Amino acid sequence: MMQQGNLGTLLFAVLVIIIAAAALFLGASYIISANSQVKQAEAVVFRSGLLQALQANKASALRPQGSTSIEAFTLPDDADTVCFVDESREYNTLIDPELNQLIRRYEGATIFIKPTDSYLPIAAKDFTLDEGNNPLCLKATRNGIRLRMQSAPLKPIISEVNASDKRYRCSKVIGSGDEGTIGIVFLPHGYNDLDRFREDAEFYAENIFLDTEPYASSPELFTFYMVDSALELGCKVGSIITCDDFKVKRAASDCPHDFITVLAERSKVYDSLVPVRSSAKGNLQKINTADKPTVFTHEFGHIFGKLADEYVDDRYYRAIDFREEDYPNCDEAGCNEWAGVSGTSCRQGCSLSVYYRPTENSVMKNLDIKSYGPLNERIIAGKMVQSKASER
Amino acid sequence: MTKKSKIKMPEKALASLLVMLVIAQFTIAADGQVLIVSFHYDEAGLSVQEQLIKYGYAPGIREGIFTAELIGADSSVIASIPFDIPLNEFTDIADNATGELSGGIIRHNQTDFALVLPYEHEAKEIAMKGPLGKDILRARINPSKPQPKAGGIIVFAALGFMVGIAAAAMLLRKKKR
Repeated sequence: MMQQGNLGTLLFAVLVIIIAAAALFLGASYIISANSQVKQAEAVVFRSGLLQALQANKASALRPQGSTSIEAFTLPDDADTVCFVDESREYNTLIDPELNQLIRRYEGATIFIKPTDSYLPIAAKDFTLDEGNNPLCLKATRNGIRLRMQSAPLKPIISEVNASDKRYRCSKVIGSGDEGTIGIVFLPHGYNDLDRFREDAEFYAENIFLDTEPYASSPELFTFYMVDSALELGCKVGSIITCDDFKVKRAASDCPHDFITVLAERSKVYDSLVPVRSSAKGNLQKINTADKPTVFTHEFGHIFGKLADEYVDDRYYRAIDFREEDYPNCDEAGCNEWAGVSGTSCRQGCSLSVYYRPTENSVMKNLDIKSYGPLNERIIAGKMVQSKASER
Repeated sequence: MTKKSKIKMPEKALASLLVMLVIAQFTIAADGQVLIVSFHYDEAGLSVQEQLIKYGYAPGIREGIFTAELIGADSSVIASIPFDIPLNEFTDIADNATGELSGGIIRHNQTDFALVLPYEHEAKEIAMKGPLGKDILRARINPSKPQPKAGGIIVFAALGFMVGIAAAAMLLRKKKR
């Protein structure tokens, strides 16, 4: 009898536990559901506030054309970006690859709140965007965004208040951006000033790469891009620069690309004390900006031209199974590989002292030499033609 | 006599909206999406570390002696992409005064690398093939997805469990007295 009493109490206790847990579980679910409804309501408030402000900023007797105002709007706390698209004109498809799909999917929608799986797009026609600023994507800061509205006869022109408010995944540095061009994307590491990163990217693209043959003769084959928001690439700077390849590829995939360049900003003074090697692996090159700038074309020679180093480092190259037949710019004595190619000779030393290279000097041997030399130019030019012809 | 439960209009509309959103997620075309897969390679072979599907661009220039295939549910090959396992790393440093380079190749025995592949919604599996076309790895496409925020629910459930335990303990104590 006593045992039955204890069993009854135990069963009752278990039942109490289950009921209490279920009650609190359901309560939590309700709270989460209510939160979701609150967020949707906040999105509705944002929408109506924005439409009112757009209406108010149309040019009128009270608001002369060209007058500007700054309007602030609150967003739900998990909204991180708002993108505006002026559907009446061409828009920049590089700004956000996801946005391109959303614009196609939601015909007529002009405002997108991200994360887009939480908020339906908004169809608002009462605004326009400056050329070159379409679409306009703004980061939400402190649960809101600010817009500059300039009165105009038909629709106000909206733009960012600060340049730093804009969010864009990818921007073009130089080149046509046509499908079929060879894409090279720059990613930053260690930059405190992203304007400086842009300057460096432009410098390497225009003053170094496109100033070197064979690229200089066919600049239309290349487009340079940059992902110029501060990124976490998992890079560490030791004797060489190592990065997390998954994070690098994830960032690079925001831009059309075939090759990736991580620019690691370093001070020349500090680098002279603690030198760091630039490197190339797969389709990725990591450039120490304190290096001589021709290191860019040297490393690109490895990843695109599949060229070997033409300097000799027997200690390194003997330690691995280096074979000249794997590289088009190294050969055995006699240099039959490039016999008859104008401007070439047969110079001893190509990664290993037992092999031979096609010229006395080139950028694959010495960074004070800008050119690749006739053979390497020919090899690279062939790769450029192949890339253009291949299906993309 | 039981009361008929009344479904409020806003709740009905919200439920419909949620259903539409859920359906929309499954019907969004994979157009413009890429599958990024990270691999580890060592003497034991190739293994998948992480997967991600996102909007973006895959490289157009592809070279290599290995092949990555995207396989559909019907075992058809949707895409076939050549690649190399990047074991060789060129490292270079120049003498500031003369410009002469030194350095060499680091030949890694093992490496972590990632591939950006064009993604189609029908793709269910990736098959990695060696230089002779033999399978070296097959893996289901199972990218990391953002998990629903279940933390709050778990905390509440845990609290409920603790409250229940305390109530049960008090009952048992009372019974003993």
